[in-house]
Amino acid sequence: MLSRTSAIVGIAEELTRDSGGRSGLELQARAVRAAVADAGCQLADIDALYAVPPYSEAHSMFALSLAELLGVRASIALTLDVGGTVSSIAMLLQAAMAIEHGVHETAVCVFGEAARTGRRHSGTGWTLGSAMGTEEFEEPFGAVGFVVPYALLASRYLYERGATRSAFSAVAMSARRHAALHPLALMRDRPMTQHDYAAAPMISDPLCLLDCSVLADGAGALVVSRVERARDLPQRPVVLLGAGMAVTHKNVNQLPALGSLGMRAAAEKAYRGAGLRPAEVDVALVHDAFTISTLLTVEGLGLCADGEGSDYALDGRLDLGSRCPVNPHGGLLSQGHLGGILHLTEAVQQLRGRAGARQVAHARVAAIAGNGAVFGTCGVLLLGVDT
Amino acid sequence: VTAPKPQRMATKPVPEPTVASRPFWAGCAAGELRLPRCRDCRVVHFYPRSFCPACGGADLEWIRSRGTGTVHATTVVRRPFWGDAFAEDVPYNVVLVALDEGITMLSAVVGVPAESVYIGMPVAVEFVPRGEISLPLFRPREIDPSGDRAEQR
Repeated sequence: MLSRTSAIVGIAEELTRDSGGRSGLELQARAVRAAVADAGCQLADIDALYAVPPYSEAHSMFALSLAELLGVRASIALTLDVGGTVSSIAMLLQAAMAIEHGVHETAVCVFGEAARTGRRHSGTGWTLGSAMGTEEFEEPFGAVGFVVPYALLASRYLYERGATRSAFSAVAMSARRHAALHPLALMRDRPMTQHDYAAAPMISDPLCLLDCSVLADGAGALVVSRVERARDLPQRPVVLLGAGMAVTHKNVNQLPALGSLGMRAAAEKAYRGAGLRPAEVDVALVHDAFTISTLLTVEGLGLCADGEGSDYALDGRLDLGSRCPVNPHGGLLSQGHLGGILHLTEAVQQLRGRAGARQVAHARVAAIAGNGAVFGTCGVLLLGVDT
Repeated sequence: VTAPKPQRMATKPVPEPTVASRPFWAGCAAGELRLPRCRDCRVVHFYPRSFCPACGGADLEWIRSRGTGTVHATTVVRRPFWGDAFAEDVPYNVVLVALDEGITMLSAVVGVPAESVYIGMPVAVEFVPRGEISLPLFRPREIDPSGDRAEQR
C-alpha cells in the first residue's frame, strides 16, 4: 500500500526509428542523465537505480553496468524484469516502498533499448537469446514470438464477446490520431483510415499489421523522491497514489478464461489503495502491444464492464475529448514500443499539464495499466497531482 | 553505423525433453498422449511438471488421454516468424486445444486448410515425427452422434 509519500520529480523521453548504433545501455544512460536534469538534481543525488534490461541484448547485472557507466555510487542498483509495462510500474513501486521505509532517498527508474535497429538475433520475432519458457510446448508448433499468442487471445475475445475486428480497427485508428499530436511519435505523419486498416496484410488471424505495435529505439526514465523534497524541486510533483499487481500464468498455453485474467484484480487493489474509483480517473495509459490489449485493459480497469471494451472503442470513448481518453500519446501502437516506460512518462506530462496539443483538460488522476507476457502478469498504477 | 544483421533460424525447433516431460515425449513416440495426474487431488495438468500446480502435490501418475477435444482458440499464421524454417508452411494453423481431460495445450490442426479451423471444432490427436521427437498435432474428427459434447458455433 502506498501512502502518498513519494512523487515523480523528473522524466526523460527519447524515441526514434534509428538511434545510430547506440546500445540499450547507452540509451538508458542518456535517459537517466536527462531525467536527473529535468528534476533539477545532480547524478550525485541519486541513491538508487532501478533498470529493466534491454530485451534485445543479453546482460547480467544490467543495472550495475548502468550505474558504473554513469559513475553513480548508489545504495542499490536493481535489475528488474516483471513483464511489459508491469516492469515499469514495479520499478516505481519498489522505489516508493524503499523511500517510505527509509531505505534510500532519490531513485531513478529507467528502461530503453534499440529494439528496432539493435537486435542480435531474429527468429522468435524479437529475440533475445533468452529462454521464454515456450521452447518445448509452443515454438515447435509454430507459435513463435508474441503475435501468434496474441492472435489466439484475440480469436477468443471475438468468439466470447461476439465482437468483430471493427473494434480492433477503432483502437488502431484512435492511437494513430493521437500519435499525430505527439512530436516524437514514430507514426506522427502517417494517418490511418478505415480503408488502410482493411487493406493491411494479415499477420496472424485475426491480427493484421495495423493491430501490432511499432518497434522503436529509445528510452524513458523517471526520478522518484520523497514528496517533501519534491516540493522544493522545479517540476510539479506527480504523486504515487496506489498500485496493484496480479500474476496468473506466463504463456498462452496456460491462458485462463478471459474473465479470470488478472487486470481486474490488479485494478481493484490499486483503486482500494488509493481510495479512488474508476470514474475518478481522468486519463488512462494502457499497454497496447496489440489492439486486443486495449480492449481487455479498459475492461479490466473498470472504465467499462467486461465485454463492453468493443463498444467503448467503437463509440469513440478512447479519443481525446471523451471523459477519460486512452493513450493520448499514441501508445505502443503508434507512438512506438518501448516496453511501456513512455506510458509512465506520458502520465507525468499529462498531470504536469505539459502535454501540449494532446493535453487532457483538468487531468488530476492518471491510471497506467499494463500486462506482461500474454496477460500473465497485470499491473495498475494510479498517479495524481500533489494536493 | 550499420546494425548487425540478425541471425535467422533455418530449421524448425525440436522439443528437448526434460526430467519432467520425458514420459510425455516417450508416450508420443509410442503413439499415446500421456498426461500427468496428481494422486492427491486427482487434477490432470499440462504441460508436465514435477509438482502438481493445483495442490502442490509431488505424487504424480501418468494417464492415457483419449486424445480428443475441441479447438479453444485458433489463428492462421501468415508470416514465418522463425526465420526461414516455417517459410514454406505459411499460411499455417496454430490452435489451443481443450482436451476432454480438462487441460489445454497448444498445437496445430493439420490435414485441412488453415482457414477452415474454427473454435469448437472437434479434433483428435495424431503424431507427426520431427527429428527424434513425435509431435502431437490434431486432425478434425467426426462427432459421435451418441452424445460427444462439442462446442459448436
